Amino acid sequence: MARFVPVVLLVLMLLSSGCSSWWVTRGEFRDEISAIQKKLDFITEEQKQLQDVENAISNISKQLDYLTGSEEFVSNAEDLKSLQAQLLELKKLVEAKGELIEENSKVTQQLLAQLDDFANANLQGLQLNDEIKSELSTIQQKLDSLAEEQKRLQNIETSITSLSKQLEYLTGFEKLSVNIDDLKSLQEQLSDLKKMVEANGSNVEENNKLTGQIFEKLDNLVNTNIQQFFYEKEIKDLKSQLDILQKRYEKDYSYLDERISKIGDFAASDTSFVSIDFFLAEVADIRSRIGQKEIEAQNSDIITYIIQSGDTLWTIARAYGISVEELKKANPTIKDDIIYTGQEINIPVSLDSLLRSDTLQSHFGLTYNYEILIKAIVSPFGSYEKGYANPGIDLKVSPFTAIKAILPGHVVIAEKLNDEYGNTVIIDHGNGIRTVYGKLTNLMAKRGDFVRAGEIIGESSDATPNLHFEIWRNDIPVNPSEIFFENAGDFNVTMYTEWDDGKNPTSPSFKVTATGNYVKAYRTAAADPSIFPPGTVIYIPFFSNAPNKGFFIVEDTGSGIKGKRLDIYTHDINLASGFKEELLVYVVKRP
Amino acid sequence: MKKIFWIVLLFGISCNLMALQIISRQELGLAPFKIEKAQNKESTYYIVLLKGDSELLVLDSTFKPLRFLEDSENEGINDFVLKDEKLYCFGFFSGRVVVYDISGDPSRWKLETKISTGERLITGAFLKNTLGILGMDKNFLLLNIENFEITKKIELPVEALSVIADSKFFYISLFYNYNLLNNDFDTSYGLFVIDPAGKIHKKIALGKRPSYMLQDSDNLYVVNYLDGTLDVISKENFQKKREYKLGKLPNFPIMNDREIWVACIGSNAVYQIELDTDVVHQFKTQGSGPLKVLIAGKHRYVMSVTSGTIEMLDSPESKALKLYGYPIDAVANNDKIAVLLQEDWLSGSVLGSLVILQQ
Repeated sequence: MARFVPVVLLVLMLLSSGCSSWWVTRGEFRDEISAIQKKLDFITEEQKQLQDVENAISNISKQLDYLTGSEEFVSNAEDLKSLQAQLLELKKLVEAKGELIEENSKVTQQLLAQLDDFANANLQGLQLNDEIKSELSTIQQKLDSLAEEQKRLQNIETSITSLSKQLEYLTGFEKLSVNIDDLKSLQEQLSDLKKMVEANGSNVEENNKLTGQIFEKLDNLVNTNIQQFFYEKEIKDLKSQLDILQKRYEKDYSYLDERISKIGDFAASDTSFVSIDFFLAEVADIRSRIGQKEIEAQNSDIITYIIQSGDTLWTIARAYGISVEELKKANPTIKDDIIYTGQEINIPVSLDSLLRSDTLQSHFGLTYNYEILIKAIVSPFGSYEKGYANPGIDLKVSPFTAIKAILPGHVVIAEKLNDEYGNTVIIDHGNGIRTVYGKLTNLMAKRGDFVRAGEIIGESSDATPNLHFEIWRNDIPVNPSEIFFENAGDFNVTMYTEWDDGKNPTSPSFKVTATGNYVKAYRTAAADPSIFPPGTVIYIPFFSNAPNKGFFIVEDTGSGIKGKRLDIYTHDINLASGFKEELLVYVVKRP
Repeated sequence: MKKIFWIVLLFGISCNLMALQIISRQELGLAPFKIEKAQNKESTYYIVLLKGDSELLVLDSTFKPLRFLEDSENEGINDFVLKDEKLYCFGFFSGRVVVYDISGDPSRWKLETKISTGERLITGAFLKNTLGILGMDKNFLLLNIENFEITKKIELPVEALSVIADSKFFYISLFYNYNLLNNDFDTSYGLFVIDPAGKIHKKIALGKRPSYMLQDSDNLYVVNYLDGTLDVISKENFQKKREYKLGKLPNFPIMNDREIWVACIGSNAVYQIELDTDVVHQFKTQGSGPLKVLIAGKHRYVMSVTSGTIEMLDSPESKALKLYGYPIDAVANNDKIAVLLQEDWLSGSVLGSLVILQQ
C-alpha cells in the first residue's frame, strides 16, 4: 500500500492546483493572450477617463483659487452656480468612474485569477519556457500596480463627493453670505485633492508607461505566438505532407503491424523463434517498399522540367533525344526560343521508355549473375550499417568502371560533397526525379551540363564500395531495385528443408531439386514454373541481410507451390516450420 | 586465492586440451556424401564419394588426397560398399554397378568392370558372394559377384532405403511404406527378410518410414524415421521384441559395443540406448540439427547440420566447434577426424569441403 502513497499525493496535488486542464494548447494560449490584451485596452480607456477627471478637478481648483483670491468677500451666484454645475457633472463622471473602477477591479481580479490558472497550467502542462513565464509574472505585477491605483481613484471619488457637498452648501443660500473661512477650507481641500490627482496623474503616467510596456511585451508574446503560428502552419503543412505519406504507406505500416503481431505469434510457438535478424529482415522488406509507389506513379508520357540557369532548348532536346521543334511543339508558350530560369516546360518523353531494365549491367558494369550480384552489393537500400537508413545502395563494381547516367538530365552537383559521399554527381531528370552517384574517383561531368542517358559522368575507384547510387522522386528515396529489377509483387513465402518430405540422407533425391541441382541454403527457391521458370534469379529484400543479400535462384518446384508462392530452402528446421510471410519479390533475370 | 588460481588455470588447460581444433580445410567437389575406411594389405585409406560430381576421391590414412578414381563421373554414383579389396559403386543414373579393384597402392587401383542392371541403383549389401542391390523402382536385385550375373529380381511393395545382411538373410527397410500425401500406409510392412536365393522369408510390420538398420547376432534394430522410434526385432522369430522411444526425425544409428547412439535432427537431442540394461539416455545438443554420432577413440561426437557444428557428447563443458558447413559424414583415425561438409558456408560456393580436426 505504501507504494501508492506518492501516486495519491500527486493526484491530490494536481486536483488542488486549480488547473482546469492538464495542459494548455497553443491555441488556448493565444486566446488567453488575446483576452489579456482586450482587458488591458479596457483599463487604458479608463485611464483616459481619469485624465478627464483630473482636468475637471484642476479647472474647479482654478476657479476656487479665483474665488479665494480677493481679500473681500466676493459674491457671485452665477460663478458659484457654474461651479456647482461643473461639480455635479464631475460627480456624475466620478460616479460613473466609480462603477467603472468597481467593474475594473472585478475584471482585474478575474484577470489575475485567469493568469494564475494560465501560468499554473502552462507550468505544469505545456512547460512554457522561462522567458514566457517571466513575461507572465511581469504582467501580473503590473496588473497588481493597476489595482493599487484603482484604490487611489476611489479616494479621489470620496474627496470629490465631499467637495460637491460643500459646494451644495455654498449654493444653498439665497444671498451670498459665504464665509471666507469656508472658502479657504474648500480651497485647501481642493489643493489636497489637486495634489492627490496630480499624484494620481503621475501614477496614471507611470501606469501608461507600464501599460505601454505590458503592450510591448504582450506584442512580443503575440509576435512569438504569430511566429509560432507560422511555424505551426509550416508544421501543419509538413504534417499534411506526412499524412499523405502516411496514407500512402498505410498499407505498409499496417503490414508491419501485422508482421509484428505475427512475430508475437511466432514467439508463442515452441518451435519458432524471433531473432533480431528476423526483425531486421521484416524491416528490410518494409523499407524496400519506400518510394515504390512514387516510381509506380511514374507513368506519364511527359517529363516536367524546370529551367535552370544555363539551359537552352538545344541542350535539353539533345539530352532527351528529341528535336528542338518537338520540344517547342510540346510547349507552345515558348516564343523565339527564349526560356527563363524557373520556367516549367514539358518534355515529350516518357522516363519509363528511357530506363533500361539492365541498368546495372549497362551503366555500372555489372552483370545480372547470382554470384556477382551478391559480391557487388555492399550495403542494400535502407540498411542501417552506418547508423542511418541508407537512402541508396552501395556497390562494389569493377575498379575504374565508366559510370553512366541512367537517365537524361541536368547536372546540378558535380563535386566532392563530403568524406562519406566523396566525388558526387547529382542529376535532375525532371518529374521530381534526381539521381545521385557518389564515391566516384573521377568526375566527368560538371555542374550545369545536360547529360544523356548512358553518358559517362564519372569513374569508379578501386575502393570498397566504389559506387553509391541513390534515386529520389519528389524528395522521397526510392529503392533502386525498383529500376534495376522487375517488381513481381507480393508473394506468399514459406521455407522448407531437406527433411520436410520425409527423405533421408541416403535417398538418391535427398537435397536434390527438381532441376537436378543440390539445394543450397541462401540460394535455392522453389516456385511455380509458370510464374518463375527454373533458372530465374529473384531478389527478396526481406533476406537482404542474409549472406546471399536476398538473391535466390529458382531451381526447385513443389506440389503445393502454385501461383504467387515461393518456397525458400533452408537447413534450419525450426525456421522452416514457422515461416510464412508475404514478401516483396523482384525478378532479377529470367532464364 | 592461489588454490583458486590453479584450479581455474588447470580447468582452462583441460578444456583446451579436450577441445577440437581445425587443422585443415580443403574444397572437394559437389555434394560430398560419404567417407569410408578402405583397408587393403598395403595400408589404410579413405574413400570419399562426391555425389554431385559422381566422383570417388582416395585419401591416405592422414586424410591427404591421393587421387580420383577414373570412369565414375557419368554414373551418378549414389553409394558404394567394400568387400575383399574391391569397391562396388551403385550408379543411380547409369544403372550400373561399377567395380574397382582397390588392392595395393592407390596409384594402381583400377576399374574392373561395370555391370548394367537396367535399374536406378541406390545401395547394396553383401551376403557371402551375393550382392543384394536396391533399385529406385521398387526392385531388389541379387548379383553374383563371381560371374557378375543378376540372379534374381524381387519386386518390393514400395521404394526401399537401406539393406543390410548377415550370413542368412538380406534385410530391407521399406522406407516409403507410409505416404505423406494421404497420410496413410501404402503397405502394412516395413521390413522384408529375403534369403540368398531371392525368396521372401518374412514380411514384418513396423512403424512409419523404417530407415536405417543395425544388427547383432540376435536382433535387428530398425529406426522408424517418422515415428521417432527404434524397433528391436528378434532374428529368431522375426517378432518385434520392444520399441525405444526416441526424439523427432532420428537419423543414422551407430552401434558401439552394446550401445546404440541415434541423433534426432528434429529435437536437437542424441539418444544413447544401453542394450544390456535397456536404459535410454538423452543428451541435448548445443548445436541444432544433430545428424550423426561419431565414436572417435574414447570420445563421442555429434555433428549438427543446422548449426554446422561438431561437439563432444560426453564433455558438457566443451563448446561446440563451428565448422561453417553442413557436416554429412565423418571418420576418425587416431587423433584426427575427417569431416565431410556437404555445403561450405565459408566459401559460399556450391562445393563441399573436407575439414580435418585434431582431437
